[in-house]
Amino acid sequence: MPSTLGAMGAQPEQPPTGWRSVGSWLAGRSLRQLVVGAAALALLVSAPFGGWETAAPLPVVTYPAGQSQDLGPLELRLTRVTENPNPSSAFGASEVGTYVLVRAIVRVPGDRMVDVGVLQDSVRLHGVGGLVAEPRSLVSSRVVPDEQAKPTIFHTADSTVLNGLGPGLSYEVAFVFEHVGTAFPDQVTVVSYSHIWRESFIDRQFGWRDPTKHGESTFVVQHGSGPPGATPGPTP
Amino acid sequence: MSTPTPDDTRAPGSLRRLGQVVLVVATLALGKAAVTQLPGAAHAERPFVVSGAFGDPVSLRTGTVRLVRVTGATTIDTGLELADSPGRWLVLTYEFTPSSSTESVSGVSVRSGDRRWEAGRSRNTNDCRPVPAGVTTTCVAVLEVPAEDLPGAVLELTPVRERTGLDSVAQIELGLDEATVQSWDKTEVRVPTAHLGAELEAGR
Repeated sequence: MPSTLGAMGAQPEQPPTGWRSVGSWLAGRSLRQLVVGAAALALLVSAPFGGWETAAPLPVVTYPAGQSQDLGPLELRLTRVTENPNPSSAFGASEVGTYVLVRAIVRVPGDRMVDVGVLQDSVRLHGVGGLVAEPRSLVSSRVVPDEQAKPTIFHTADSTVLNGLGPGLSYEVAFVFEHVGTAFPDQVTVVSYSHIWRESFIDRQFGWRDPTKHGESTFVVQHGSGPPGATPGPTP
Repeated sequence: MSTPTPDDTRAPGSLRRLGQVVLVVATLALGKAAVTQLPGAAHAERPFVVSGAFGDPVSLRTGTVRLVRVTGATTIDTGLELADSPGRWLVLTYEFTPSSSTESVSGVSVRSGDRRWEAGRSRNTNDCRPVPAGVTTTCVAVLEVPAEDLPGAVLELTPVRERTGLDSVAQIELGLDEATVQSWDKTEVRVPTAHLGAELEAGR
């Protein structure tokens, strides 16, 4: 007698329907196909909003000397640029070449203090070459691209280092860069960067972030050769 | 009696799935609405403010503070250098006595309206060394503040420097007026040294 077990126990497998069929189809794809497919889908969805095209940079404003610039955390007025291998007896002669001093007046218009990192990232020299990562560094005087060379900020009235600014106070400062070798150009471009106040994606803390090129000013460099006096005093 | 057709059996299933989706979306919306009704961190974690006046002992979580001297100038002599301020240097001397363990006061700031200046940032300093419970130490804080912000300004002392949420804050009126602030123009003051024990020459 023929067995009926096969006909009664094993149901014929039904083809998956709906979402299951999609899942089953995806499970049959290779990892490479899945990645390429996901990227193509993301591109398709984002296409109406410009796709993955890089956002157009904000226009950079040209500022004459002395004009106020609103950088977000700071109001900045660039006044002049000097170069001097030994500008102040308060911080000694350069051991690698010369110092470049971008003179400015800065003020914090908001309610909170602004830290040194924001100050340092607000001003850069462009088109110079030979700038060290940070002036008077005890660790290294390695030359970096101009955009990466950070200044030390001095209060010119007393040559003390400013590691931040309080709200409402207006300081005459020098953004001091250090340059390898004493042959320095007669003209430089000073670029200012603005910041925005936003929450960090990592620690959810608010702060001034995302330095963005805001303005540029061209200065004729005033060359100097030594400190104004033997005793510590105002930066020249 | 009629037998359900395949179409009849699919319709309730689709409706059930639609109902599930609606239920999930409604639950998410309800959750979101509930979250927006909860107090934010700024409110829920607000500090415990204890107000006081110049010379009064004010209790913090970690001990008692007392503001004993307020002076100011446009130039300070730190012993290492002279520093000029475009505003005024505020030199504050306060005593601290820990209550139960070795502590110091780390958070020092001056508030005026919405503006705030903190010690430990920029050129502002706070010299306050940890001392054992029951021992009084005299601490010195130096902050630069615009002259126009000093009348009505308030000193805030906290056990820790950052994140004062859920912690105690001593809020002490500095009691400065315009005439006092004006009298500090073009003057120089030597920053006193923090020391163990109470301040002998308290006063403004």
